[in-house]
Amino acid sequence: MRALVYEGPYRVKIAKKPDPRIEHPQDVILRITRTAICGSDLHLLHGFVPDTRVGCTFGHEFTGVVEEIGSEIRTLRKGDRVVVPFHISCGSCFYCQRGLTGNCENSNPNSDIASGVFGYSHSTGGFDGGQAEYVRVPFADIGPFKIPEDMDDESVLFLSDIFPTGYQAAEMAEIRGGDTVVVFGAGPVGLFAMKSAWLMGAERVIAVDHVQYRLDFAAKYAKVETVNFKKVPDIVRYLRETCRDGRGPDSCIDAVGMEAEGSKFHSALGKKLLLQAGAATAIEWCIQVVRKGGTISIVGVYGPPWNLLPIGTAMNKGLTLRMNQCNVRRYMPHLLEHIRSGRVDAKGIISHRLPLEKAPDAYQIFSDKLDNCVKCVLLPHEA
Amino acid sequence: MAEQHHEKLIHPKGWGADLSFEERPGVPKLKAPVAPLEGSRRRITQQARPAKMPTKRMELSSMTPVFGTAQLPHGASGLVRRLAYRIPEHWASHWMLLLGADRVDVWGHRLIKGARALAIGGSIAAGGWAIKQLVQKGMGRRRLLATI
Repeated sequence: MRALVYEGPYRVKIAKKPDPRIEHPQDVILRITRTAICGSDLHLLHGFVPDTRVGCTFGHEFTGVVEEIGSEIRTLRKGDRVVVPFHISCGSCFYCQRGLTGNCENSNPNSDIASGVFGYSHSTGGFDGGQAEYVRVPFADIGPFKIPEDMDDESVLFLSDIFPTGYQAAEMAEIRGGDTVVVFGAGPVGLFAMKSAWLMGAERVIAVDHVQYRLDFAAKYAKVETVNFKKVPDIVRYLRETCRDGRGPDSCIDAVGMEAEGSKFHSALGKKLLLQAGAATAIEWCIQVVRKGGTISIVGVYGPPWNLLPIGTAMNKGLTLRMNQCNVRRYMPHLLEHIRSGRVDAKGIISHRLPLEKAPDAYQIFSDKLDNCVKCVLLPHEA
Repeated sequence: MAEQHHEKLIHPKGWGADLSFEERPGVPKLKAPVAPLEGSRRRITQQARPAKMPTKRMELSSMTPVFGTAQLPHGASGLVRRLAYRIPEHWASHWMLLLGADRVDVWGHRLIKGARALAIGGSIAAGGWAIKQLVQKGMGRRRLLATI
């Protein structure tokens, strides 16, 4: 089959690889119909995630058709169309039973801090991802979610990661009626966090970024106020002054992660010298900006082993910090109804559709934020 | 400047924000876990052992029920990775060794790729040189025969 292959930092290509095969009785093999490039794939591409091996195929947001099924599969049949959560969960372990499917302990032999994830380095189990023609899906009775017949693949593609992640971000922000919520990062996850913040009762939602076209898109798509942090002298002071009578917003959401702009100090230490796991600028701003007693919700991806954070400030301000990888499976049925009812136009954020052959170009467009790119979707079986 | 900027901000009405709090579709939130998940098992079959074992963290006595078998460790980078997985992951050296192994892997891959390109280029050049020699020899012999 043809698949995207990692060749080292900033280098990916399309190459031939052996077809995936059933390796466990609860596996299925999917023929990929749609697969998206996630902002967190860029952390892999840029060499920030430990144990990213040459030859690895990225991709953890995909839909597909079941081609082969393992002997113990009960809920799927050949030909079923499914959307698959980015994490691999057994459904039976201590964490899965508590709804924490994003923390499953039965799918990653390499690390206790993360469950198995498709195409996200060997730190998350060493599973090849979905930016390919076919993919192996373990524990297929648990993760894959059948796509209703009346819905097309693109409408539900983002139930695999970014919509539930944005939704969980808003949920973890503990929004109450009348709250002011600041979302750092106007990328795809940030956009869904903004939409979800409205759904949960926010009075004001403010998007912060430095890429103007993304802020313009956020204003249009999620109907939020926008602030370009490069156009204000001090973003922390600005947000504090303009929210809650100078106290700061009630909640802040970090939808940025380890490659944040805005602090030369964090960028030098985290992105150039690798003395911390990427630049923790967004979390620092969240801690500084949010009002005392407020809540910070972190869904931006940070790598091990550590980051420099003003934890003393967080303690003295009495902040609640909530964070996790998204427990996607738990939100899928609920969010499907939001899409179906038209409340959230999930596929409305797709700006680029490209064949799999053009995946290296798609990475460049997405990474360099060219051509007003918001979200790239690859079509593995269409030329 | 901040105040000026703030004056320019518009305060758009977001979808659902003009409904009363109780009527918002996101309320109540999904606080309770949905369990047990359909299709979950009491006993999970262990994935068969492949010929060459993938890496696993040192705290585990055996592999997890499923695991990835892509890009098994190999060469110098593989040695560094296996060393890293002997160190607990709460030690920074574990992650630093893995990042180091990634760089070794990339450079090893580039060296092999470069060596292959050199070998192909070299064999084409050597072939060309050999053909040239043969042609020249042939022409020399014809010239010699002509003079006789």
